[in-house]
Amino acid sequence: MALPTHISSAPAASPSRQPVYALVGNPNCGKSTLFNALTGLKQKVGNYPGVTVEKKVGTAYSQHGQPITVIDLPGTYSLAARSPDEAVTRDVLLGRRADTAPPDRILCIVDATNLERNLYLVHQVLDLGRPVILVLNMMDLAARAGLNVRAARLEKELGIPVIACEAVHGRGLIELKLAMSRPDLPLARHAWDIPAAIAPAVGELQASLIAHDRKAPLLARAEALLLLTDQDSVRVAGSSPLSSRTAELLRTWQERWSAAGTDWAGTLVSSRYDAIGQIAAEVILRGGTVGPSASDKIDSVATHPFWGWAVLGTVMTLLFLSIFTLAEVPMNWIDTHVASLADAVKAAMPPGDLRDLVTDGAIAGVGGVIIFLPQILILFFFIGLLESTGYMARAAFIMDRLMSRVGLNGKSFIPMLSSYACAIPGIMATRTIEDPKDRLVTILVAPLMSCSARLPVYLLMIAALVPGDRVPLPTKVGIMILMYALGTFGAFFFAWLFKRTLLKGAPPLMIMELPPYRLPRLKDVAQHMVERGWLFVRRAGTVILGISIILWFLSAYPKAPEGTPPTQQLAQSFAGQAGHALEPFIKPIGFDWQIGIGLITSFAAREVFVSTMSVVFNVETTDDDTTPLRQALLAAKWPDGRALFTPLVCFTLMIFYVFAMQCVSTIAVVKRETNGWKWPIFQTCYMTGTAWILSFIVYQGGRALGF
Amino acid sequence: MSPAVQSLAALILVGLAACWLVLRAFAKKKSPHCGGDCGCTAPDPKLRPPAR
Repeated sequence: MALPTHISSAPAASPSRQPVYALVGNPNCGKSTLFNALTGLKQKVGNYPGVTVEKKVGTAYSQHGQPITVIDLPGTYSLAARSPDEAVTRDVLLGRRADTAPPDRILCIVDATNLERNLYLVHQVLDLGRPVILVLNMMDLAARAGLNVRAARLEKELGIPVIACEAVHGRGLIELKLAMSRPDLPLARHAWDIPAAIAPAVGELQASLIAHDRKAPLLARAEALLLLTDQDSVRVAGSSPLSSRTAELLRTWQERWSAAGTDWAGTLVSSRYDAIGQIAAEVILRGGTVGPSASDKIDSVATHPFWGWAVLGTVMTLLFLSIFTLAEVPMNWIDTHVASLADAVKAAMPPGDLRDLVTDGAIAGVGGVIIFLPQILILFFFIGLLESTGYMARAAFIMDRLMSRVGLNGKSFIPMLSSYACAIPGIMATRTIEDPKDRLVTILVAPLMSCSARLPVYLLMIAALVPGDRVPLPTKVGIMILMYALGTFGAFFFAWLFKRTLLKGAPPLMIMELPPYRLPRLKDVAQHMVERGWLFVRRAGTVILGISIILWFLSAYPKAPEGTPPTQQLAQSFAGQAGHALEPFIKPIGFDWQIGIGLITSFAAREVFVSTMSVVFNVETTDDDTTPLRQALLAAKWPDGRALFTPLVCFTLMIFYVFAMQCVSTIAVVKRETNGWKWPIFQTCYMTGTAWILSFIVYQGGRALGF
Repeated sequence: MSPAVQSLAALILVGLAACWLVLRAFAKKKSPHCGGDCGCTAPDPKLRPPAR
């Protein structure tokens, strides 16, 4: 494809080296969608800002079959990073990351419906002096909004290739790949008049960055402009601090401007916006007056102070109703087949340890967890729908008022919402939070949100708590909503407490873009649901299988003399001894040593509690037929003959799992994100301590009331 | 299969499972994270020394 004549060419990159493209743009402008379309990978996408918080690397192929490295970067509004995810983008673009090749070229993607605002980042990227291709994404939505964005005119204004694109539908990809395949991409004709009074400061800082900070000339100019614009050297320099000479020079200029009472930083930003405004005026043609969009109309209800909460409550109720109703048939099917498999093995093999290991260990442990697969799939289907429609951002907006009362803002609620799926991506998502204290508070409370690993525990306990069909469905749904609400309000309470004690700070203002509503892309939702389902199955077939086998050994050895009852055998086994050692601590909250075994093993992952109960209570039975776990739990007794799993104990156990930090992976991620052991140890202590205290209050209070 | 052989086979399986879990727990990961179970990766950023 021939480039227009007005575009000059940059020197060709070395043909021996695989070209590296960095993909940058504002949050939620379609970077990851384009990345997936170019590379064929399946990175997570969603219709809310902050889905990508870390760089992702993939390989695309040029029109000639040559490999091209593409780096997908977190979204940012400016190169002056305000949060850890934005710092990743800044450091990769400025070539500071040792683990990432500096990009040769940059793919700048902009949301055509918000072109003027998106061009601010483009303008800064052009300062870097690297070849840039501009991708005008969401052209269909722009047209629908009455905007005519003239790509050819923009190309002429900036002097770089501009490709109109609809990444979601794959439109414009061929043209983009043709542009990416060119060995001689042009450099921008980047006309921008820096105010004359600021030009000497830019020149001096650039010279100092070259001389004392060993920066390349063009990067030095870009960094000088960023330093003067943002005036916060940490946001620009990150963790590679400025040399003392450059820092002194910056301070001198800031003091000089401060003494003169002139906001030169503001002037610098304004002059950039003036240049962008002139371009936008040439490029964007507006087709008459456009009334409120469909998104605006929906938002008048969905973000209403009263109706917004009603919508949120309805969505959550629908989610849990689906979990209980739609999953029933497939769950029964899995349950029947798991039991049949165990019975078939028992019939085929003579009695012995290997048979017991297979039936009471492997099949009981894995089967006990895998039965919850349908409900996990439904949970992720709903989460996928919320993410792809754009409702997640509205939920954060609704929560903002509540969050501001506890000292955080709605932006902290996105990581907390992500934690409903799993605390780990939720903790990762805190990288979008600017203030380090707010980020730490969010990390500390995010694991209180009920993750999908707690779901099997809740469901098992609800099944034991309200057996059979005696209790109507709304009660089961109500208990489930209560558990989720308890975790959520627990997170709010501790955020409030930490913001007033350990991590004091003013409540931040929330500035978050509400993306337009979009019809959910069922392909993306299904893909995400299947991926999560597969991870659940894989975990059951690996870690949970391994733990179940070990647990079988621990509960079957050392062997008691021939003829010892199974309960006594379990009691004197290694697992039984560990459970008995824990019993004094958990007896006040109504748990016996058998539940204690589950509490120990589920520290690896919460759902292991279910597989542990399957192994422990299957080991105890002597029948050749496999007993459903729920019935086994209901038959369990204390030594004095009292029922073990009373409704009060089941409820207390659920309360314990709402608050306890039973997840090694989360502890490891918190350690990494906080750069030390102090906070993960604190988090484990406060969460598990709270779980014990609340369980104690509920259990002892319940007993005092006669339950 | 006699009970003694079954016991030996079961103990071998238990040993293998224990070794696998220990190796998995202590394996040095390229980018320490949840073990791939949540779909995230986040290598610690190592900054490149500035160069001309």
